[in-house]
Amino acid sequence: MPHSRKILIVEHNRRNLELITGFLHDDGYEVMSAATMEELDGLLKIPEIIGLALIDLMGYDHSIWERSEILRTKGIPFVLISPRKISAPGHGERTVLLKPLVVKEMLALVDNIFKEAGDE
Amino acid sequence: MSNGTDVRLSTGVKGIDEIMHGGLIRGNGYLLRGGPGAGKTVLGLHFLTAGAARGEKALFITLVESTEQIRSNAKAMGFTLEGIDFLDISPTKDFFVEGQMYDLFSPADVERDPLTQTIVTRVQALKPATVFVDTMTQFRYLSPDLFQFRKQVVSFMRFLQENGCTVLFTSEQSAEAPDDHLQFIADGIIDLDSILGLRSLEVTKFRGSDFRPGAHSMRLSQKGMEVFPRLMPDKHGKPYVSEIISSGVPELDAMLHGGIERGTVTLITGPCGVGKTTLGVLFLKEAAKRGERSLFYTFEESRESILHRSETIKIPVTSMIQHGLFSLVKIEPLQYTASELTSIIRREVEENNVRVICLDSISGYRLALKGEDLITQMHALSRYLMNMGVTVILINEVESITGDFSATEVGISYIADNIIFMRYLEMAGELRKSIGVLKKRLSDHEKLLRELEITSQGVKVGKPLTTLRGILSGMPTGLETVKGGV
Repeated sequence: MPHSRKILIVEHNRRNLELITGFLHDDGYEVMSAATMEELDGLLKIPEIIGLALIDLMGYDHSIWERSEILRTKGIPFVLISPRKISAPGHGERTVLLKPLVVKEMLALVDNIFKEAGDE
Repeated sequence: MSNGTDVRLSTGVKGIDEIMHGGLIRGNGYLLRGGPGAGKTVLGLHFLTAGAARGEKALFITLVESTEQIRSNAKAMGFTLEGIDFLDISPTKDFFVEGQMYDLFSPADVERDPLTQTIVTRVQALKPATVFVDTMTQFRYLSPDLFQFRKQVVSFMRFLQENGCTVLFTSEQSAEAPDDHLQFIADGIIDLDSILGLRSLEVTKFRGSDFRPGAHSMRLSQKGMEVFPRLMPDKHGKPYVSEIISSGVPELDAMLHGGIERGTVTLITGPCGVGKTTLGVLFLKEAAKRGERSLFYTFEESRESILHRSETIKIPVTSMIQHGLFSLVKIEPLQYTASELTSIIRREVEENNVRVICLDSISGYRLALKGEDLITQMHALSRYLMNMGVTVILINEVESITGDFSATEVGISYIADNIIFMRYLEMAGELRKSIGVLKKRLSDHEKLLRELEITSQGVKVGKPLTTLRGILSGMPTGLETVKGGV
């Protein structure tokens, strides 16, 4: 299932990044990643290639909300990943996934978001 | 999960094979339970070594310890590991050092499939006959819930079974990961336990076979694992000629109406220093004269002391030892459990044809040996020896030198077929000794007490003390006037 746009993974942990990249690749997605705010800022300069962002909140400070605001204003759907439940985050995210993610559920969500984007 | 073929497979430990009536049933899966240091891996190594020795392929699947660690520990215990293949799927150091830790997905999603695939590939390539999995509990952490865990283990076992493997797998039970499910799945369960330094092994389940129930003494040493099955006296027996055995002292034989019968238990009871040990050795001397092997176990007195004392009263123990007819063994305190000693004695009886055994003493046996139910175990040992036609002499010490008479103080007189008792007498300020027969199950016996003397010329038993009364009180008086003692 080729997709014209890529999935941006914002992930601090190298092993987590390897794993999620692997699962998404196996499902036919192209992935790019940012581990630091600087890397993320660089990628946000070319928002047109980002079809979806998956942001693991672990390891980032409040400045992550400024970047999520950029995604929201540019109409890029994004999903937050958190180790614990966040009460009413309200940053324009499509949903919040709790760790540990279930691979099948994560892939189904990603597929749905891309399907919706394609339907529009 | 039985495949219906009842072909026994040795566990590699003789005692366990005996408990399991020949060993594991080929093609089945057995759970090995036990806490840390209980000996699970050691038994696994015995199991695989036995398989390799039969020329079969053996596979050790390790999920926790590294192969290097296992090899090093196995080498220290004398396992060569020849013919054993290892599949090491334990975590490498990279997991910690090179940031391989993750939290985005559960281990069930990340590790289960690659791990399963690794095992499947290796088993299909090697086709092992024996597989040891250490530890199956690891799969619990790779399953999101108990249902999936159980399903995965059942499926894994079935896969191994279909590939012709007999499997021994371990579990680590904890509050977070109880192993109840593994117990249901397994065809058999071997429990390893250690309480207050006493190791034991118990088979609690064995599909398709009977087994010897209860906890059996177990020892882990540089030689690996040794298991000493609890004695079942009635399972053993040997035809023997019922005959009278002489003590070598005609007067004592007269008191016993000839002597004691072969294959009986004789209790020699009395206070300290009265000559119980000497009397026991007398029966062994007579056994040597008949060319029979005998064994004397001393729990308190040193070997040298008994040898010296016997030689000074003309009992040629050194010569008896040199001719291979007599063994004098000192059992050091806490050296053995009762089951271990029983196994040693069994070997002596079954392999070295020992015909007379003396245990000196019952209280020493109770103090020196580790374990519980010592008197019960002594009873079982005595019953076994009787069934095997071995004559048993038990030495029992009573604390009171004189005074109220009691045959024994530990409630073991019911074990004995014959009871010979010895007493001190105080007569005109002099301590003298007397001997009597209290019980003889298979024949009548003399009811009279006689004086006993142990001198450099040997053991002398005098004429019946018919002129005294109150001998059992220790302070007899003459029926008329006692002159010149007895």
